[in-house]
Amino acid sequence: ISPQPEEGEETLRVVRLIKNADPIGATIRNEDESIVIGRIVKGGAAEKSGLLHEGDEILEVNHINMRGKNVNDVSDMLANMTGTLTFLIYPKLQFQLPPKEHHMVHVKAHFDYDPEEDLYIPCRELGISFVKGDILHVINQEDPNWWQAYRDEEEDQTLAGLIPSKSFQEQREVLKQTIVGDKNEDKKKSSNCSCVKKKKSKKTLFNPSNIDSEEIPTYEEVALYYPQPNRKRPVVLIGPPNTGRHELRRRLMESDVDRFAAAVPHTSRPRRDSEVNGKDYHFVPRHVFEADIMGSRFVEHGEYENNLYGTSIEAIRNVVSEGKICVLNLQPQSLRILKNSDLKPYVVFISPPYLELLRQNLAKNGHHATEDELKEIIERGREMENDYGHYFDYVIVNMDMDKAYDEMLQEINRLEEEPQWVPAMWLNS
Amino acid sequence: VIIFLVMARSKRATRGTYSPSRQEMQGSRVELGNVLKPPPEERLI
Repeated sequence: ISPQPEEGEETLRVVRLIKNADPIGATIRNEDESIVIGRIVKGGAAEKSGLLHEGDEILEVNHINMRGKNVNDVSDMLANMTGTLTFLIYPKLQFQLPPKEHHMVHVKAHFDYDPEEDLYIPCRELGISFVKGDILHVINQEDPNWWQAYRDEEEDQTLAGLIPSKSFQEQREVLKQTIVGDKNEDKKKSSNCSCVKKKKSKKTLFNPSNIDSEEIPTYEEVALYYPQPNRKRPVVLIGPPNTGRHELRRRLMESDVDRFAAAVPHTSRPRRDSEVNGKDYHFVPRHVFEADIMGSRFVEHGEYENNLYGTSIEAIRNVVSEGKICVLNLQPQSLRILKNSDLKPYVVFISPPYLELLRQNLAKNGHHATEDELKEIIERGREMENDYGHYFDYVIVNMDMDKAYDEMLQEINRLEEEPQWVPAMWLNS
Repeated sequence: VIIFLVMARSKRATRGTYSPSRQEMQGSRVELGNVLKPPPEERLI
């Protein structure tokens, strides 16, 4: 209900909304003496009515003057009001833009977020927490710093929540790295890890364009992928040594030879009489192998006793085209190549349990590990999660081999029945 | 990490003299200041 504005006259608007016990879904902020609408939240009465807008000043609610009031008091007051609320509004814009159509974007979070610990969230009560791997449905990106979103499977929540936008989170991450960079540098030096790590330049001036945004863990756009019966996703097991990864793979392969298969590796070693080319290995001359490495045809490769060994993309694709599930144990460094292929891998991280249980599990297999060995395994696991966690689809903490196996098999069965969130680029190409 | 941010913020608060010329020269630093400054508090109604 808006009184017809007259030329040159200051326009006020009266808006009536029915409010139940839930908030009407708008935020307010103080601007000097005024109460101003900060944002309209998707899903609430304010948004549905289309009558309130960001920047509008609320002069009165049910004839109670709002000027000079603190937002906290107004918020408390309105929380206790139900029924018809009559707002007297001083609109910010003379010409209201038609509400934008928002298309939903689905993203996978690559970082943990807790709004309770965030100094910068504009409205804490709207913040939603999430952890790495959670799927978020982003429905409004109008504010460049704060997106409105629902967490997956919580779309029935009336009001959307606030999450930091990709660019805001990137800026914050860069900032964190510049501040704590030196500390991390020291910490990494003291741990004697043999892994090759890409060192970021820690002393960068703030300028996001200098930094490869793929290296900053924020969000990744995802889309739903429906299982295809004749195109099974390869299952990739990742994990530190001695966490039972090889045992899990062996059990899987032996459980059903018609369902699971290994990719036939390449080697530059000469074929032995008992071996069949294309079954035991693809036997190729060294110069061919080397050319294939240069051509990025290998997911991973290595040298053993002066011979090259490797797993090619083609070998994995062959298993897929046979209608089988290719089971791979790979180094995490291989994930990037695999992800950029058309193979749609499903990556399972096998994590070691806590130290004492790891010790007991290894002892069961006659492996009496030293304290340092155990710590090294756990530390390697942590590093892998830290550096490659954004590639993982699923994490199994291997507390008990039988249980871990059951969990893995159940997860693989689910892959063939239910749609999954995969990088959106896999479906666009 | 939050503690560091808080420290950085409080430093900024006590030493903060507005110096547009310095910000101009460092260009993108202006942006950084915007990121660091918590936005005005919003409450839900």
